[in-house]
Amino acid sequence: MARVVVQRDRCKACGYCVAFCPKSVLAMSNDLNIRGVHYACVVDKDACTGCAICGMVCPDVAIEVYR
Amino acid sequence: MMEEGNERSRRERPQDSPERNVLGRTPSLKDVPTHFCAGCGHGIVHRMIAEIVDELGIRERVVGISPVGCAVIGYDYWDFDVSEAAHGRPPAVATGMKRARPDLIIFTYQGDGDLAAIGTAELIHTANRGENITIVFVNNAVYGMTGGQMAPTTLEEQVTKTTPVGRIVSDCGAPLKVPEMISPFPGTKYLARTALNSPKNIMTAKRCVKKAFKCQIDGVGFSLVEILSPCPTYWRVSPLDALKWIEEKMIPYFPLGEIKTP
Amino acid sequence: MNPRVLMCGNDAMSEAAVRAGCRYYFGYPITPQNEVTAYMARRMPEVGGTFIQAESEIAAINMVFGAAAVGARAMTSSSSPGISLKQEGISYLCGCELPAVIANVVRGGPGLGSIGPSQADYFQATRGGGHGDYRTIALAPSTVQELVDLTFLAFGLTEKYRNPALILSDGILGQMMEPVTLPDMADAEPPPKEWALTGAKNRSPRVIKSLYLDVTRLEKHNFKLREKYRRIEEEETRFEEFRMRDAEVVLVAYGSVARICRAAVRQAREAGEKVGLFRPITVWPFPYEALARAADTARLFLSLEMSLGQMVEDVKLAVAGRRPVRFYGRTGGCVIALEEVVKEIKKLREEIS
Repeated sequence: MARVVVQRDRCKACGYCVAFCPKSVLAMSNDLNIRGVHYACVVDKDACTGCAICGMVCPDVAIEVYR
Repeated sequence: MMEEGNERSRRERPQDSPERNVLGRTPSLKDVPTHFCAGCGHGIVHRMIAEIVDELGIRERVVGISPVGCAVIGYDYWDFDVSEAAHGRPPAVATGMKRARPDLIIFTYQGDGDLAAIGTAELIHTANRGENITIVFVNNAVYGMTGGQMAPTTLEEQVTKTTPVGRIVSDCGAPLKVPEMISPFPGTKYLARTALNSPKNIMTAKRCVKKAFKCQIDGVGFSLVEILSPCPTYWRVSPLDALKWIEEKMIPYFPLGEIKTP
Repeated sequence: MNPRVLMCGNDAMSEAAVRAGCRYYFGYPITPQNEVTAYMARRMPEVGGTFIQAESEIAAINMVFGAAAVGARAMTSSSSPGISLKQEGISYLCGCELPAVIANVVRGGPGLGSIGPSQADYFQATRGGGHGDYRTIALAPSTVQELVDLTFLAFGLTEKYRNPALILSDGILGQMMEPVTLPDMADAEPPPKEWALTGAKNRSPRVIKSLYLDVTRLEKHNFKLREKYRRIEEEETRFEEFRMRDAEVVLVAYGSVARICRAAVRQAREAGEKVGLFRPITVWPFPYEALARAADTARLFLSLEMSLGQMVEDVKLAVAGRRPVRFYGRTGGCVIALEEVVKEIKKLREEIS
């Protein structure tokens, strides 16, 4: 069991986590965060394997990974 | 703010398998938002250095030197001793620090202008003297802080504010290859070039930077790791396209790998 | 009592720095201070210190910055064009409140100039010299002994105030040989500094910086520096008055020019003329108050410098229009001769009689 937590308002919507997640757990939200961008969010939580690639590529350290 | 989906999954978890945090913020990285643009490589490298400092257990011995450039306020992000330095002079500042306190682990963090333009003399002579310090060289082929001018590492044909029709080698010279340039000096011990364009390359970059710090800790000598880094803002592309640009345009000219090992 | 030794100014200044506890010297060759780099190259290893011939004067001042930032006593030296190169570094040292000693063995300028002595770096030394509002404590010795004493003092002042101190030597003083008594060797271990970057062990991290993007914060920082400069002005102003008590003509001179003026005053006094010498020893802080007091009784001031006239502006400020202020100078590396001073005094005495 694994999950990721995205800090919504730290996200700058660079898209790296979404692009590099091998399981398509994340996608850009339709909503905007406080920065006015479509932040990354979990859309398929069950697919998460806790590989932590998303967290590793995030330039804003906005993602925590739990296993 | 946590996502709803994650909240639910926590409640559903079996009681007997304790969950642990496998990736989060390392202690030497302050929990503050950064000023870097979306997709900027500085965030990744700042975090990488903080993790390396914590993994090597050197937080109480390390002193960082910030450049002039987008990374000028590294001391706002790193939770250890940090000094600013005049533009281009971090290697000289590092020399003064290391000679006075050889027990401290001194690293400089420099961009392409700081290191390879105004600071070329300090780079070359600090490397040639073989000072036992570490240089983290973030190469994004452009001057970010000042609005996107040509850097010494700007590629041929790359359009910048001061190369509006693209860099012309016969006028501006060819882009500089820093590790190769200082490799012949006996004083240089570990030189590598890495990139941030993929998870695999980010992991390699971290390994190389860690190796560079170890080089200093073990008293081996001068180390420098160049990191090809995205600047979506001044390359005028999206962050993901910036990573593609590193792969398609930068890496063929700036080959990755360890240029020199001890 | 330490023995008297015959030394040239550059060597004596170097030894005085070592005696003051300086263990880090970073420099670059330039005439007329090459004796300093040669002396330090040999002497620093003898006392367990560090000597680096840096790649440039710019590199040298930044090495000083680094050593100072981690709490060490560091020094650099150069001559006029090299000091110009160091200005950014000196501004940074002041902005970051780091101690450092910088020696300028002044030569003819501007540009490449000459290797003769000069005093044309006065503005550079006393008005900051680089960018921003800051001051360096500027000490102007007149003899090789005073060069020793003021160099020793410079290290104490720079640490006391966390501000760079400049030693204003010149091409004659650096080269001339005089007997000196050197001070005892001070403790090489500098006192611990609660601001130095020593590794964040058992304490929160420290930052050395001069960047304050918040303009109100930067203003506040500048006010703090100003307060420090005010304290230095109150407590560290130094000057000498020679035969001043009833002087009608007051010569104002510093450094090696003051030596010549002292001889001129002696000669004048022997002839019954009421001439005196006012000699600033700190050119920053400049002894405005003492010089202003002299204007109570003196009738005319003559500023003598090896320049086109820089200190004369400070003399005018001090005298505030109450008495005439005249200037006489030689420049380009030329030295003022005793006869020229005597001739000038005669001319001016005629003017006021």
